[in-house]
Amino acid sequence: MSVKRSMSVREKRENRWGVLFSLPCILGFLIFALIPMVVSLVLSFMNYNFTTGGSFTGLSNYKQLFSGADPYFYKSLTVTVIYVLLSIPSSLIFAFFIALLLNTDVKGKGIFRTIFYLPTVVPIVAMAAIWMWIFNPDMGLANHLLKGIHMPVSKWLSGESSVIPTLVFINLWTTGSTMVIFLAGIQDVPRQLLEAVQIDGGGFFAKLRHVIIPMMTPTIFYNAVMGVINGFQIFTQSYVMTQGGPNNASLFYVYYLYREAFEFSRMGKACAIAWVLFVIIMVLTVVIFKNSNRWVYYGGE
Amino acid sequence: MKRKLVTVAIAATMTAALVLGGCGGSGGSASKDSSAKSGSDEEVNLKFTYWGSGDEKKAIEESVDKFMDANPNIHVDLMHIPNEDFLTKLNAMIAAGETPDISYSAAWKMQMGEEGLIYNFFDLLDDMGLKKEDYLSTCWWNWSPEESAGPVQANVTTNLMYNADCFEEANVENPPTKVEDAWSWDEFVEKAQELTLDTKGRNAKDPDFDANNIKQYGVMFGTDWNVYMPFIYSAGGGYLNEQMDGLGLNDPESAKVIQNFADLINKYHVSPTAVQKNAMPNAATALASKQAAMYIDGSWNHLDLMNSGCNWGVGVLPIDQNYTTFFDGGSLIIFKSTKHLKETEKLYLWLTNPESSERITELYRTLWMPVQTEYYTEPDKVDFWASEKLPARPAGFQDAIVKATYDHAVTATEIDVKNFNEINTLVQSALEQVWSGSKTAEEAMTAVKGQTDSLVEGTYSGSRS
Repeated sequence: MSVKRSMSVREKRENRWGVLFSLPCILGFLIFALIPMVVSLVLSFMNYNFTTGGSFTGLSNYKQLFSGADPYFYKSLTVTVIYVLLSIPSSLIFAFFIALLLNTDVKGKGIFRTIFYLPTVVPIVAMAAIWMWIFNPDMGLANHLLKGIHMPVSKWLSGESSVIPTLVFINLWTTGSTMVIFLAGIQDVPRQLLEAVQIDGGGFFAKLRHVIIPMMTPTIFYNAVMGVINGFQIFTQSYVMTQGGPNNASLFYVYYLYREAFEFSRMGKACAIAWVLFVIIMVLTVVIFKNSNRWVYYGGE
Repeated sequence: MKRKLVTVAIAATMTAALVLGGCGGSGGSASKDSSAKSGSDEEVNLKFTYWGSGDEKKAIEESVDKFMDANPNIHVDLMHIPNEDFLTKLNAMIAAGETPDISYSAAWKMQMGEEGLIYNFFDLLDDMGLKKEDYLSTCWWNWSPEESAGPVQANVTTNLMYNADCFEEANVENPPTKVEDAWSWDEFVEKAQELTLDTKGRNAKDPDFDANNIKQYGVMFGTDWNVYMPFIYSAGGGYLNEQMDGLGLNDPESAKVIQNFADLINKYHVSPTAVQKNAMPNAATALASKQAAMYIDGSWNHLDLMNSGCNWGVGVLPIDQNYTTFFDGGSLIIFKSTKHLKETEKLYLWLTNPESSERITELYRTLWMPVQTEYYTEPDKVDFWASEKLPARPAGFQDAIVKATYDHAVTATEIDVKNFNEINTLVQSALEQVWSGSKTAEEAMTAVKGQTDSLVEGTYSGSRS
């Protein structure tokens, strides 16, 4: 219960300046996020295209998607879900593992940290070009090495069944930020707990199992949520490397959205596709949050 | 007070956002009276969007410079946009109210025509002093009997190109250049086998032939509609079925043609797999470096072949019955939003007249073919662009390309089939399984029918395509 009192002149002036200084942020949010979102929600109920505008068609865009009348909707959703299911666990485990390694006291720790973070800085298109060359089925480095040790070769990005696993593998390369966050988390694990395990005669795995991982759950949780949000929005890799092929095996949801909007000029439908994605990501995020209290441990609870 | 200030701030930003943040541009709502200023001497700026290879870009730039020299009051802003992003960029320009005056265009122009964004070319004919009869009859991009996006401008056709040295080394006679001498498909496969060599120099007919280590392929081919459709038309099939209410590529005669092409890869091993082909260079380089002895694809490759300096030739397609083919290519569209119709028409005439300037002439002697009938019927006009003394017009060119196409042309599939762009996106994906050998042509095309047939709306001409 606060008692309302009128502000002093100084408070008013401070407020004014405060608003003024935060205006760029507010403006940016309004112009580049909120207003476009509202507009796209409106457009998703229209058969809008760039050139001629459009008219309201009610729910028909959404009906078309869910009824299966559109040949790509369920296909792209399936492809994307499979990608997310594979890429999140693999990238979390990989990043966690690298972070553990980087946490050890080796010589040139800083250099190693830089090396592992570097791929994250490389523009994704440049990275895609390099991987395309490595995974070229005929002359690529990967198959060349496999042949060298008499292992079976793969079609990698050109095979219908191998394209998603290949993209998941390539994704491990871009887990630098996840790794850095893990590293920060690991370094925050209280020393005395680790020492306690040591005194009880526990080795590295006991430390990991009973101290490090439980103390890290908030970080893992955060990275998992971000992984879901980003994983569903994978686009550049398929746009650059596979154009959704072979036979739509890598037609990711956002690439499908892009195609509807910019190749087939169906802006209204593309907006509907975008909003379906928004709802999917939101529901998943809520689900992860809701069951987080079962496994996420915050110190001091 | 505080609240008021915030309210004002938010209101201001909302207004700014609404004003700034794309309330869609006014695409093509200009009426005729606001445009079409008469061609006086006032300074005008035209915007021309186009795509094309480096060579084409240079040629367009130079010829437009020439055009501006000849018309000092007209300035043309050239915008070269890569082919794959072209429509995206163009759509964005239209939405932002920055529509070009004139542009290259592909099959998507038909929708723009129906939406009233571009001029009906038939309405401009008199203005430009042109007649419908001047042009090849199969080359009109018409979205209705009375409305047209204009005739093909960058005219090309499907053809068989080859490296004569490969033929000589394998002791195989060169492909025929006359329709009446054309190979049957079986003969063609046999020649391709004789021209396919493994690293030990054995050809594909040899029982010891090693299909895993091929040095020279007998034939390579483009995997899009422009390659298989002439064969399908000749076999009596079509892209659409007879009732024109569904895809026709799964009909036995059509599916057999596609299967024939897939067999070149998977059964006879005379053509590289799609995966191998991805890693290979373009047609001209593949022929010049003897990775392929023959190549079936568009005649736009002639410019690169000429530049490659190899000993190349052209032949008729291996179709020995009911030879059917087509001319095809994009057209120049003029947007209704132009404020300078007269000057835009001038530029149109300049770009589409094979004799307007040296650089344009060069394009019509290498990359493109003319689309005006006289260049096919009057011998001196034929020689003007197709003389076999020209570097990109090898011996037999006039028979194999000019005459064979002119005498046996139907309207190209992409020009006539409605919704072609979208249907073909589905078909192309499904065909990947055929080229890789995981499905037969009939299976794949039958499977994709479930998705394509809701998009099939027949043809613009009303006859089967």
